[in-house]
Amino acid sequence: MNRLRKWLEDRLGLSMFEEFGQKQLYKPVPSHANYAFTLGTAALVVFMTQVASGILLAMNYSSGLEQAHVSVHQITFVLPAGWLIRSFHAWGSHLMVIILLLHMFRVFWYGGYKKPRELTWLFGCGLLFLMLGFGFTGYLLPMDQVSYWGTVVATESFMGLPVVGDKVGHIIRGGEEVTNATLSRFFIVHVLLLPAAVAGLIAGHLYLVRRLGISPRASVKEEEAQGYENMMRTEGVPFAHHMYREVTTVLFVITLQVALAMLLPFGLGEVATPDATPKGVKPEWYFLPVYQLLKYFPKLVGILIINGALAMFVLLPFLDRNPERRPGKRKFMMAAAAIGLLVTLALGVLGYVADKKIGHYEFDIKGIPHKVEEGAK
Amino acid sequence: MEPNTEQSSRRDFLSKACIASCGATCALTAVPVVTYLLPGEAGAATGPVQIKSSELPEGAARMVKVGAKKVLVIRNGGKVTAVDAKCTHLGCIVAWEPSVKQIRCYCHGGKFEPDGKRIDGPPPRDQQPYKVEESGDKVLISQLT
Amino acid sequence: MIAFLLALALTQEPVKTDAQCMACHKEAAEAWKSSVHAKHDTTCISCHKTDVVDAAGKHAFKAPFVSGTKNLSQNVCGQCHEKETAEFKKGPHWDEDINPKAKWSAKKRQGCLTCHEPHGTLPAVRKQIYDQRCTHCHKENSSQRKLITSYMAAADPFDAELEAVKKLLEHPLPGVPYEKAEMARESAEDLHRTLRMLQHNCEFKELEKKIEPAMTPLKAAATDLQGRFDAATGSRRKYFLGFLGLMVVNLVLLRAWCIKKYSGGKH
Repeated sequence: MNRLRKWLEDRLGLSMFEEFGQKQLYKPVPSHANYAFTLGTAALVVFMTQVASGILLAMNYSSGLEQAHVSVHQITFVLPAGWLIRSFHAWGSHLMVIILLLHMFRVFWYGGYKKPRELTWLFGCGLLFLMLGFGFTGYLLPMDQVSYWGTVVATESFMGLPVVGDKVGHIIRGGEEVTNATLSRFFIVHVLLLPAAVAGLIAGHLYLVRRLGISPRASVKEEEAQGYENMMRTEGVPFAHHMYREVTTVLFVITLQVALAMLLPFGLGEVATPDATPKGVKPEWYFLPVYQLLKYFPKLVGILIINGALAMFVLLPFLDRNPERRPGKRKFMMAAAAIGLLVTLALGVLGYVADKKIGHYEFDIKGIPHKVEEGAK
Repeated sequence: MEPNTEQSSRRDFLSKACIASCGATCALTAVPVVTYLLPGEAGAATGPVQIKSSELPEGAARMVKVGAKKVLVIRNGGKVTAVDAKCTHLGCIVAWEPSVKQIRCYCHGGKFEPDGKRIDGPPPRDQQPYKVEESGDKVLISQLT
Repeated sequence: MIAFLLALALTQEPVKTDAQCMACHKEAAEAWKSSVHAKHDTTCISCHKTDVVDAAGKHAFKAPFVSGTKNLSQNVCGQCHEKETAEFKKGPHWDEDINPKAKWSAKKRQGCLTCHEPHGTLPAVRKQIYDQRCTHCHKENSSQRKLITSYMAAADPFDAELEAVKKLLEHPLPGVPYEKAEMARESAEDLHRTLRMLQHNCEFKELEKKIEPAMTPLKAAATDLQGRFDAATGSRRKYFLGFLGLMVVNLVLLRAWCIKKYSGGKH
């Protein structure tokens, strides 16, 4: 064993890596770091399992227009354990979005986006959008009715994203109609472009997090005055002391994902018919608020509102001038966030109930309920 | 810190237990992954494959699939024979050469009789023959039991 | 004379749209709205073709209009339901000279209207037709009744079994291949469609013979698929519990190791 170590040491400089590892392990984190601070790691782990399960799935997937649904059917119903890997991957995509949203909320709550961590926030926003892109492109790949038409419909909301959305929408589709090229594009974006981009952004994001440290409770001014390292000498704990929380969260998330995959596996709908739209088509839940919003306003107004909201969200570190990080000292920001959250949630709920019949009420396309008398039709 | 022997032996046990437990989990995870990557061959024994007699004139050959295997069917001198099409040498697909009335493998020059018997070349064995039944206007090819 | 004819011509109106039909035939229109035919995009015109109506609201009954007069079934229903009409002609209830305007119970042999509503056609239900139509003429203990009830005793369970298989196949369990059941369903559906067509000739003994050999494989397919669903669900639950147990052990051990090694036992 020692001979192996020496062999590697002479060629790779093994001890250098070990020193780096030790340094990272004992880097200080603020003492208030709790389980909420493990969400970033959870997201990273889910990303890695998605890559792993995605690679396995890609080995049996065919991205031709006719073969796509057939290959996914094979995976789901014929290949041994195919259903498990696919369900794991599908649930992972939902979990990923939830974890990311929770993580961003935690960062917002603790003011971790303020100076000098603005760039970290920007990288994080970039990661969020790329992850939504993952969800968007991956959702189409099985080519069943729900996924195909959900994608077509979600393109509307996607085109509401920052300015270039419209042109990008056309580039993504490869023209007006969905053809072989469209599906191939989606597949390559999902499997090559996005993973590479996300990997790059994660590297940048992690570097920044490590370099600048987890934000302390103190305000921006106090941190600048005292210096982060000095601050951590008194109120920091080594990351190693915090690590058991990370391990717990990671294990919990993995177990949850496997539970969902095994106990609530994903099926497969009828093959998509590009010439006939079925009733009641909706995009995935994380696109619902934007999708629903576009129903209430004329298209341009809706897109403007969405772009505006997203711009405020992304540029938060530059718009929020309050140097305080403690939630108690940022009442305005907290209120604004609460309102934003409630509005988004409400839009999401409206989007869910729209065009649905629940009990004695029928909801129209704007989500407004109308009482239906029994027997009248 | 100087861990005393009792603490360090407890820590050692814990380390070993962790490794064992994580190792077991990884092994458990590997099972579905490996079965997924190596699915068993579909279609074990299938019924006889049939072709029309008219599709197999004298001196001609046809390729059929019996289960997952490719089979070369030949009508030579009135008699119909069928052999495994995968050369016993290195797996190339053999062909019927009507000019010399032999089965030839073009990869490395293997030569076989119409019934699969090895004549010459690098192949180490005869080609596996298949059972042929002629009934009416059909030719039935199946595995030799 | 010419003036009279001209006047007549001027007061006549061609009927070319459904709306025109429905303006007068309100009852029929209401009944038709929820019928099977309305769901399949048929219109008044597609069955009855166009006609001309005079000012008094009377039909001219000119070709290509097809009204309910002679040979109703052939000309109206038979336009689309050719096979059923052909079978019905072979059966004991066909009559060349049918007057469908007569009350259906008055004559022994009727057209399609014997069993089917002309406009509010709901999907024909065997038992309903038997209770409301067959039994009206065919007396109790008659040989016809025996034939029909014997046939229904075979056909109804067959339909029920087919529905059961279709329900299972609506939500197949991922990981459990369902091709065999799908194939059984397809052939059963073929038979079901054939029976619906052949039933029109009332040759119930022959039809019963067709059902018998199809019932066993269908039942087997249903039981097999349900069994495999149940087995898969059960084994997955078991595996998951095992996995959960292992992960809990992992969690406890890793946590303890982490804390011991890096936090000096404190956190």
